[in-house]
Amino acid sequence: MLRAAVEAGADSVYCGLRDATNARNFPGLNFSPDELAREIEWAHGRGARVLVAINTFATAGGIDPWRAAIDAAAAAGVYAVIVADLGVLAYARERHPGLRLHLSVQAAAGTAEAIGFYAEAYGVRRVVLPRVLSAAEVAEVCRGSPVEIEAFVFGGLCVMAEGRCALSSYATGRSPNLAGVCSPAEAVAFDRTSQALTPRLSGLAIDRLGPEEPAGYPTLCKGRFEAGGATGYLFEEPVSLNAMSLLTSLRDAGVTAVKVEGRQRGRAYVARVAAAFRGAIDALERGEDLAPWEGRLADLAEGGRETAGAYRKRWR
Amino acid sequence: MRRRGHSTRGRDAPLRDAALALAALPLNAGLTAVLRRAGRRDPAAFERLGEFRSAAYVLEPLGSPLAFRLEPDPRRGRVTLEPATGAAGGPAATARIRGRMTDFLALVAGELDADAAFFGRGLAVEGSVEAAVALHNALEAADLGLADLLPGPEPARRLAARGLGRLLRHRRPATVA
Repeated sequence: MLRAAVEAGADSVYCGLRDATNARNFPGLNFSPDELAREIEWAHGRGARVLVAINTFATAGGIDPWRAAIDAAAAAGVYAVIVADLGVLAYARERHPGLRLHLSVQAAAGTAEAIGFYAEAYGVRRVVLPRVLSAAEVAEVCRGSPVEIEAFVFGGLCVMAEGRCALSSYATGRSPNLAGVCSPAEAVAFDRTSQALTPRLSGLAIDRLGPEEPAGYPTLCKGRFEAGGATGYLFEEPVSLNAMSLLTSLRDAGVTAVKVEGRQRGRAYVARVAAAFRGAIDALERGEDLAPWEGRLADLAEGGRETAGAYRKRWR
Repeated sequence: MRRRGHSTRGRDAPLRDAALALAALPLNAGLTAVLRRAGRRDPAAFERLGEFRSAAYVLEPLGSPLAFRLEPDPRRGRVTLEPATGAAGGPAATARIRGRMTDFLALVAGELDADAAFFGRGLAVEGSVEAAVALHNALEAADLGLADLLPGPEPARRLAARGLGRLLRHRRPATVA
């Protein structure tokens, strides 16, 4: 998928190592240290940068895998590591002072002051904003930030405080924060009858779908449940963020880079999304209208629906 | 109404299965050669399967009398054809994946996103979802194309794959119940 993203026009690609140190710790997805080094060489040959996500939180008394991941990433020659845990940031800063540090969305740094702290204390060079800020709030953060800002523009959304969701660990005993997996695949099952498809997470029924209804990955936050006599989505509906229409605003606000969620997705998804945003950004830089680029990715949206998310916040 | 445990496959099914197995022998050898060629080209991608290198996957095209049993060890793996069983279930497999043959090929060609196909009900998975996810990620990492699935010298394979790819772009969505 890394190569698909680069060939489709991505300037940089983030990836993970084959363990719990990154928040997409799915079977068969990530790189060994040797593979990482090879892919970095390949990407550099095409002018692209590779970042490694080491963005889960170390366990008490068990920080060694995160330190080893930092060491492996540095040895492989990555452009930057994306980190959330303060202890891991401190290790990276001390052991590899030349290693570029990006702050993960998992750290949920949503103010210029918080970003300033990370910049001063750890030498963080770029911060990925949590997906809870309105466009106006993003502009406010950019105005006060001493470092680069990166913002999500496409992909799955997380309704919980990023880096602190306990739903997956409640149901399965494993969490995205510590194990790098939300609703791990080994806990997932799909019960099928002629009338319905029931996605289950550790045996818990998350939804019940008719034959023509689109399915989703069974995370508790996107399940349908009965409450107050009605059945519906209690936490969030399955939708995908698509902020294509906000690229101009984000650029004008001072956002340095836009980020696509979904490195666990396949080549077809990665290539289409990367190509669409490459085209849109290039069109933006030429002063062209972005309207032809909007709507190109609707069929890839989770639940078949797109949203501008908190960028156009209508609640609170 | 079918009694629990009673097969709907008929008394001739074992004979038919044996005949199909015999006819499939040359195809099995060819498909296995394709798998092992992919394994030699990118062993690291197959190593990603981890514990699922010893798994058995069955890919069952909708409406086909035959299914593909894939045992993906990068060095000793094999592909064998076996009778499709439809909704009645079948011989044990770690994961059974049903979908249209054209969609399976489109996945390999990079024309179809597996998650989108699954969530759009075009693919159905039975058995271990973890194994299916591992297979998906390993196959994506292997960066296979249609040419890798075809026999023959590489120039001919690439030419055939281009033609097949054009046809696949015109397929219509379908749903697995």
